[in-house]
Amino acid sequence: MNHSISKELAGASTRPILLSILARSDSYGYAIIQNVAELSDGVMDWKEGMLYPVLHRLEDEKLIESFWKTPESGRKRKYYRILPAGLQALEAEKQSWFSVNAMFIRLWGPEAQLTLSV
Amino acid sequence: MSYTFKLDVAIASWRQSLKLNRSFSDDDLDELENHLRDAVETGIEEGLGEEEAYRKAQSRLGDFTELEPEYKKVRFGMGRIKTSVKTDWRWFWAMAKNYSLTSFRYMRKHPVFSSINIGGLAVGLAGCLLMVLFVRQELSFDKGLHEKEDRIYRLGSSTVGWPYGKILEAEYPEVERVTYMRSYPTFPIKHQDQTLYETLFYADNAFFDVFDYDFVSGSPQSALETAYSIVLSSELSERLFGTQDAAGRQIVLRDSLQFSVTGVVNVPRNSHIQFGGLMSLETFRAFDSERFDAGMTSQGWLDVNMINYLVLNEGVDVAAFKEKVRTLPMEQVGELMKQYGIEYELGLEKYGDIYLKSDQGNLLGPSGSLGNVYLLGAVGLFLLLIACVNFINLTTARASTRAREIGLRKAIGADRKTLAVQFLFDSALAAFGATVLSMGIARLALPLFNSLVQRSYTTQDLWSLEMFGMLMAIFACVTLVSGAYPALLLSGYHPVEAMKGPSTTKSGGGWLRKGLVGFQFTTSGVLIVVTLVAYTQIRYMQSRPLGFDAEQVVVVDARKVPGAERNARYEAFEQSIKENAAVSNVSSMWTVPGRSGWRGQLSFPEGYPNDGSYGLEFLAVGWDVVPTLGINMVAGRAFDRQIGQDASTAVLINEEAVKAAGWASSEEAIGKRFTSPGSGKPEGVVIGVFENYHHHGLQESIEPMMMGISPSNGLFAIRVESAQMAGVVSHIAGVWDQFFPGITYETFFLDDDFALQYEEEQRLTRVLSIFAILTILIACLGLSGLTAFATAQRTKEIGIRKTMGASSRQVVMLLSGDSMRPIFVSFIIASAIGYFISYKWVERFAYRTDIGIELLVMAGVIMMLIAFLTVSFQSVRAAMADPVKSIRYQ
Repeated sequence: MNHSISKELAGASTRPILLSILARSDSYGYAIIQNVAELSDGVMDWKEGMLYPVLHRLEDEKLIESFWKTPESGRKRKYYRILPAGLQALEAEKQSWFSVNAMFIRLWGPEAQLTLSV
Repeated sequence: MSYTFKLDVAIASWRQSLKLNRSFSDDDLDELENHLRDAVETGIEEGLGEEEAYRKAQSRLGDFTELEPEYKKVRFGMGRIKTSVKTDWRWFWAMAKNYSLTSFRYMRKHPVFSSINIGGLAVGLAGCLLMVLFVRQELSFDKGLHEKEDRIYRLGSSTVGWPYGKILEAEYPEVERVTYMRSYPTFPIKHQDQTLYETLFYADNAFFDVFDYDFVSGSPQSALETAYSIVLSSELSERLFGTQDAAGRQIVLRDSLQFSVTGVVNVPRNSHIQFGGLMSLETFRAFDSERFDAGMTSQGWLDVNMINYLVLNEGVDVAAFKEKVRTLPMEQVGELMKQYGIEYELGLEKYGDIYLKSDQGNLLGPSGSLGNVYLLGAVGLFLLLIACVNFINLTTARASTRAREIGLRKAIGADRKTLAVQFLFDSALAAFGATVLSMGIARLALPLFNSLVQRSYTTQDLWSLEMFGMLMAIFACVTLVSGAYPALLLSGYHPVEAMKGPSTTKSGGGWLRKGLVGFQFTTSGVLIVVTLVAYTQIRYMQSRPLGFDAEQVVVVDARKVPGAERNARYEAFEQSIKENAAVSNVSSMWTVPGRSGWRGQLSFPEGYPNDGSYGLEFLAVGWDVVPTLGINMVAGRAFDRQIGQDASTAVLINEEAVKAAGWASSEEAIGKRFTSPGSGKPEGVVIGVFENYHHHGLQESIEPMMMGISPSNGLFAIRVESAQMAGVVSHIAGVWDQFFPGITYETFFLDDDFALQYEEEQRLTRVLSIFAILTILIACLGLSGLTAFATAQRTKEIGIRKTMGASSRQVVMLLSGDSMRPIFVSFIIASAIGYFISYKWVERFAYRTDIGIELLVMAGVIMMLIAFLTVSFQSVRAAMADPVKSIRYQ
């Protein structure tokens, strides 16, 4: 398994992925990178230099908020939590991705529903 | 040398390398560091060494060259971290140094302008400081001295006898305590070889219950309980006994009376009750038990020498209580009062109001004057206003000449805020200089001020915390107001426009500045008018004929000679004085013109209805009073020692008394009898009528007067033939030593003593004139500064006008006319206000000068002349300047 995802696609998917992860539970940068790597079977390898600025931008847009928290074991970490506006944005993202996905299924399905005119 | 990897050091150095780049906030760094640590831990868990795990994690995370652009993408232009050099204190410090350097340079370049500016404000502030000191001290009287002071009242609309106090204490539940005081003429106090004349009062033992005094020694409980006990003020105690404890010692009063000192108290300077010592009231009983007991009964009701202080219980409705006691005199002794034909009401005066507001005065020390407090307060306020206006005017005018500097500063990158700070800094520096200077001036002027207002303030009084607070507040206000105009307006100039120089910029604020100068001159004008009127009034009072001859009369004060001795020897004493050929007449007198006789004595002329009121001023005099004072008789004759019955039955009255009695002429009055139903004094048959003369200053109108013989009085008036005065005075001194050795010899001249009545007015005039001069001075400083500024702005114009053929005179008129117009307007306003104020003031005098138009014109001429001189000094210089140089200016 040696393929990777193009930079553009990675870029475009960062936002919905981040929102989706945070919609499940509050999390912090290092854990998010670990999660993404696991969920994508190692296909997506997010760079810290990219992740944090994006988190900060989402924060500026008031989709998520951050807070410092010290878990029972371990050092204090900066956690991110999704805000109502973030859930709305995630819903919109979902719609877009679903429609793109639906189109590919139709295109690549056994019975192509598209008649190509020559 | 072996190399050991230390994780914390590595992380710290990595963090530092990121920190040096300003794209990361501390919060970001924390987050990244935590991330790095997580990654290192994971690496170690996976079996890597610490160093290897770190290297891996760190390379994954990237150094700042990789991180920064990503962060910047998000951050740039979003204003999240605006790390500005200006938040650094070092920046602030550097700028402060730069600002003050610029300000100092400017001051050095324009020394005259700057010293006018700072000096004017300093003088104004200093004057204001002194005024505030006076007002504060006067208002502080009787505040915060005694625990019960809010509930202490003085009884009476004039002094009243103590039966009132007794009744109030016994029958009125509102009254908690009463203390009685009685004033007494000065007693000589002897201790060892010292003799002192001190103010002493009688007070009963309740005194220290009502008033809280700080006892240096002795105790308040029984200090005034027994006869012949005395409580000394700490000041008197120190003069008598030095640093030794006075309590328990003996002193001798009035030559032979042994008193024991039962306590020493501090007498606060700001208390209206000022004494050297308090004698127990029991002493008074011991002196004269008959009179003391009589004081408790019918006679006591009219005893004017008692002073009663009440303490009301807490929560008493004072207004209702006042109403309740108002009618007490008529209820108690209505019959007696009606006999005298008077209605008498009892009043209450709040303790704290006695010093400044009492109609009847203090009675136990000096009185203040609320009018003076207001007056000096107002003068101080106006002085401050004028000085501030001046400062603001000059500072703003000066600032507008700095347009070019502003343009340059803007061109090289100063923003509006920086410039505003610069201007504020400028005015703050000047205002601060003025504030410091004013403190020095106030300190130096304190002795002069003390003599003007007749107080003895010390440096400590001047430097109280409140005074500093006030100065700081004024400093802040002046800085803000004078800095605000240039800070807000000038900093908004477009740099290019500003660089072209001041002549092209709008001279904004010109009308405002003219208005402010107008205000200054209006204030000075008012002061000039009022001062001139006050001077004129005093001159008028001093020059008006008094109706007697006050010149060439020496008065010997023998009141310290014990009465018995005086009675025995006065005739021989008078005779010895007359031995000097230059002495034409001698007469003993209870009082002399300019000092009060027994005013308000009720004595009814024959045929006068008893239910009407008739009060006159009675003078107890010696035989030769008429020639000694140079009084003119209009009917009948003067006293004659050859006619024996004159001594007991004869009286002289003045024309006013004739008129008040309703007699048609002075001749008709001769032979008429006066009776005094209550006290039997003064009574007698009129043997002569003398011409009205001013026994009191011209503040008062002439009242009905009566003179009766009482040969041995405390004062001896001696008329001296002119040009012999010095010889006579030493002759009298010799006679005195012969008759009354060991008793202080005191004399005064009648005319000087009479003039003392105008002292208050003269002092007021002196204060007014000093402040009139100060205000006009400051106003002129301001005017001269503004003219200089205006002429400088018009330098080029003047040059062109002169080249085109204008004469210097025309240029002077042009420049001066501009500045003089607002001053003329302010003079018109000032004369109206000044006229109104002086009219109100002069109204208080029974004999007053007219405030004529010529007085106002004079004030106007003075003011315009001073202003014109100030203005022309500047404009003449500008007009005389070489036009070629003027045109090349700028």
